[in-house]
Amino acid sequence: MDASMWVAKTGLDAQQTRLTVISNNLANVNTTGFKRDRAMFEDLLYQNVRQAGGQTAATTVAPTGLMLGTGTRIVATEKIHAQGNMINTQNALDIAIQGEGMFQIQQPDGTIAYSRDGTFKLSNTGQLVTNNGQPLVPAIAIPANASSITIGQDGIVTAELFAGGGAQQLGQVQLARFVNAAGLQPIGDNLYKETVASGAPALLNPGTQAAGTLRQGMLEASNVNVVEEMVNMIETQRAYEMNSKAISAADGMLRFLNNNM
Amino acid sequence: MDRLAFTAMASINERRLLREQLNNELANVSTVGFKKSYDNAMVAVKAKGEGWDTRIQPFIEKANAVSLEPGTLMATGNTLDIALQDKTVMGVQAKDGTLAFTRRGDLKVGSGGLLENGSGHPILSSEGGPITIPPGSQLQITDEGDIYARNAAQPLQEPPLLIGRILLRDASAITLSRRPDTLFAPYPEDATANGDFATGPRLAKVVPGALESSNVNVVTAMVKLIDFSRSFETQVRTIKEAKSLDESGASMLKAR
Repeated sequence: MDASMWVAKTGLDAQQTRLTVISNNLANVNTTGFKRDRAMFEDLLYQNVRQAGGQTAATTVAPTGLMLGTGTRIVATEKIHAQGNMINTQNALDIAIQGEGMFQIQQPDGTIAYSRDGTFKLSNTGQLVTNNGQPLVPAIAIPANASSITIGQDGIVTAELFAGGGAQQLGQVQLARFVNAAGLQPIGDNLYKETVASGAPALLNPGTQAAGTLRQGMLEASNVNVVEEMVNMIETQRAYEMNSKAISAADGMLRFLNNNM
Repeated sequence: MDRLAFTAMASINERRLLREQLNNELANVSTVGFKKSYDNAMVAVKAKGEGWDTRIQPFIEKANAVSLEPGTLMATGNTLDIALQDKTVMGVQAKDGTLAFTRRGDLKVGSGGLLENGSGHPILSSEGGPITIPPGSQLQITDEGDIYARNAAQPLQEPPLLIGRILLRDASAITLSRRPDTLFAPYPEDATANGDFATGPRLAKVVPGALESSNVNVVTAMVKLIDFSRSFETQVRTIKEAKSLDESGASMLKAR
């Protein structure tokens, strides 16, 4: 009926989606290893309403064309893979990644997912697993007679055995690094899946070739900046109001037309 | 029916297009690097011909010119976010393969290792081709748009590698027009054969670590919205008056 209403509606839709993204960021402010999302807006295609050089009267032509925009949309939500704060937990099995790279986590269906969350636990067989019980790849098993565990910056896991049993090297944690980490698909549970956009992972030892180093006894906090999200929220709310104002203005005009003609 | 009604209707029709454009601006208040179009002047077009002297109708004269008025800078701290300064525009490859310009500087590395912006358009280098980023490198963008990459394995005393320079042009001397795919292009009289244009007198520069917000002024837009509503009501009133004039004329001619 009135095209401008539909244009304003795209604005409402997009701002609504953006508010969802902001709410999700705020809800995950305490999630270990969470990376914040950013909603990316894009203007929709323009319609050529009047061609440049088109005939406007018998003897005049339009000097320039008239292009009308058709609104906006959220083209993508992008994960900002910036480093989160380091939190000292003193827990021997907490590992934070300082720099780029992700832990590889074995999924129940046999595939590998990737995570920045380094809160590892021991399974009943002594294996390093995530909070959800999914094992770390390459598998690292802690022997039952270990008294303390050391995880080096280079990922080498060493166990000190009971009663002077000496040190035993148990394996090395590997990190997966992506060309375009923003292209990873988040699947929940602090996990990400590889996609065409992210590219194939490069499996690296920590500290080599742009892979980050590990910090034992620390966790990486969420990288959500609460103040920034609050500012975004205000902006979203006001933009939403303005677009709904535009719709109610168009509505008022149509009502006036109906009442007066 | 009186011709007056049609003149009022022509005004409603033309202003409807402007209102749609305004709503597009309001919808894009959050689009990074969005540039509104210049306000369109309405001209009075006189209908040619005998007895049509009273018919002067409004017509949108100029449209489609992009206003490069700057938006607000939003510091993000991301190394790959750049805000284009002043009236600088950045060359990108459009979906149809041609060269076009944009102000959108939320850069990222795409799946093929190409440097792209948020809408997925590959960024062009000053040599003309897209910019390929070597895998696993940390990027740094300078004020002039030079992209330096450093592999983390590389010793710190070695200088970072210059990968290319982003195609930047100063558009302060010319006006840009809008393409249907949201990108900008110079008008044919300023453009060279491949769609490029000569850079202006000012230095084309970027601000790394920031993004430029949309340059839509919401206060102006809201005032315009009110103006549109009221002038619409005036036009409808005019049509209504024309109708009652017509009716009274008809009733005079009625046989008693």
